[in-house]
Amino acid sequence: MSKQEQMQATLDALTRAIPGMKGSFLCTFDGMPVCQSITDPGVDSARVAAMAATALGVGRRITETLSTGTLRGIKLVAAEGRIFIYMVGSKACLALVAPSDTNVGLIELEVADVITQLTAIL
Amino acid sequence: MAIHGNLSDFSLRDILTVVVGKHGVLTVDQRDGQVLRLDIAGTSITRMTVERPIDSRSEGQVLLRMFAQGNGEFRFEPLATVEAKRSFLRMDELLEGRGAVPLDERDLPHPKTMFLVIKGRQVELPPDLAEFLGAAVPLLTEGASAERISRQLGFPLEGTRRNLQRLRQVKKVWPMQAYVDRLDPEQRKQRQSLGQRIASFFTR
Amino acid sequence: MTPLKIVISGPVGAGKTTFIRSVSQTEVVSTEEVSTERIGKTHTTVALDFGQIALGDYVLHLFGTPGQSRFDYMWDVLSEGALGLIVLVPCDAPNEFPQARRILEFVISRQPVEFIIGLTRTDLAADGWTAAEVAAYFGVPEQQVLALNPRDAAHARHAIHQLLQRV
Repeated sequence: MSKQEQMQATLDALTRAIPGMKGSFLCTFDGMPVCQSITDPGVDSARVAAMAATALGVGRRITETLSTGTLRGIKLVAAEGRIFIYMVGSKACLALVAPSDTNVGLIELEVADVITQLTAIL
Repeated sequence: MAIHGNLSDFSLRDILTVVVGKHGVLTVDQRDGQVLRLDIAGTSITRMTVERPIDSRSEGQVLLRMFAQGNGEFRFEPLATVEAKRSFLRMDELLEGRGAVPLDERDLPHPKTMFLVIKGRQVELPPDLAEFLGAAVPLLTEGASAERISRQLGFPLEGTRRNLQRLRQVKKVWPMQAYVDRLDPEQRKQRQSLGQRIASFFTR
Repeated sequence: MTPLKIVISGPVGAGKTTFIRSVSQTEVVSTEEVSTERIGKTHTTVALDFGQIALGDYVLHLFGTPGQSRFDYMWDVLSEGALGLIVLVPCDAPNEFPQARRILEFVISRQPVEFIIGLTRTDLAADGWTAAEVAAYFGVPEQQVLALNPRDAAHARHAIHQLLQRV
């Protein structure tokens, strides 16, 4: 399988593993989409990629300034959903758009595995 | 220092707007090797050549249309000395007249940029564009973006953006200046005096 | 004293981050990441740059935006409540003029801000547009376009000074 196919398979599995997930997105630190697995066609991957990069970029400045070590991720809690954005190695971001009643513990477990897999592929 | 660029980034109208009033030669390359050369003197094009001089105004206009669709490089070289020549094509007429320099859809504005209709401006529009304007004018009177017009009138967004760009080219719509349109004179005055106060610290 | 905001925007590579770094009196907060696109430099701003200048009793907050359209939400977010806008345009990259115009019109049509255009790279380019020519392209008076070197703190301060006099 090519790298792209492997990444796609990993993201597809992740999206399936979490009930109600709208999509999982892999993008570069400068906001370019790499790969995505979407169940909701209304979600704009290019937008998600850019915004994930922006959010992580800001998050990293905050953690550096406050000396709390390397940023691992950000969680956005909203009335109708949750958005999780994680660092994948030193080159990529993983964003998840999930429903608001999502099981955070499950997400953390699944994501830990996925990050390991993606880091190996990238 | 020169006026130069590629037609993929500039409409012919953009280019003519920048060279009008100057004296020199505008060359426009086509990818197929054809080179259009326009002698510009102030508000007139005094000569047009494509390998050979162009004699008829109508042929000149057709050629301009053709080159406007292209993707070649353009460059304007100012001339120190200018021969007094009769006008072949008047640039103000070209820019005003429907069809002479085609309305371009490149370089579309952002879907959320707000536009206002310029009510006082009389301009002849192609029928499809006139129809669009007719439908959108209530929104464009208070100021609206392509996104808002498309959503409210049920038009596809891309087409709406293109229509606004075409209307903008003939100055029938123009981007809003929120500073003027949304602030009343009192608020502007307050801003200005604040700006002056801060600016005064620069010279101390 | 309420902090006052000036926004510095423009297409990629115009010199926005550089401008703020030159003129800021405090350490600049940047959000630059390695660029995966070829943009003529290694890094690009993905969120904002933040710097400050103190002038008498006033503190000016300087915010730099990203230049690519995919970050256009930052153009809106950062220019809300701004006192003025500087749009930097590289004189030797006419292919970027449409983006510069798009950003300028987006911001000034949505936020009540006055602006100036800062024309950069005039010291570096053999074949660039002049301030007068750029003014004609944007359809603004010539006085509203300033040639400036974003690496030069005095130029940057002068630009801010000019902007404040238009505000």
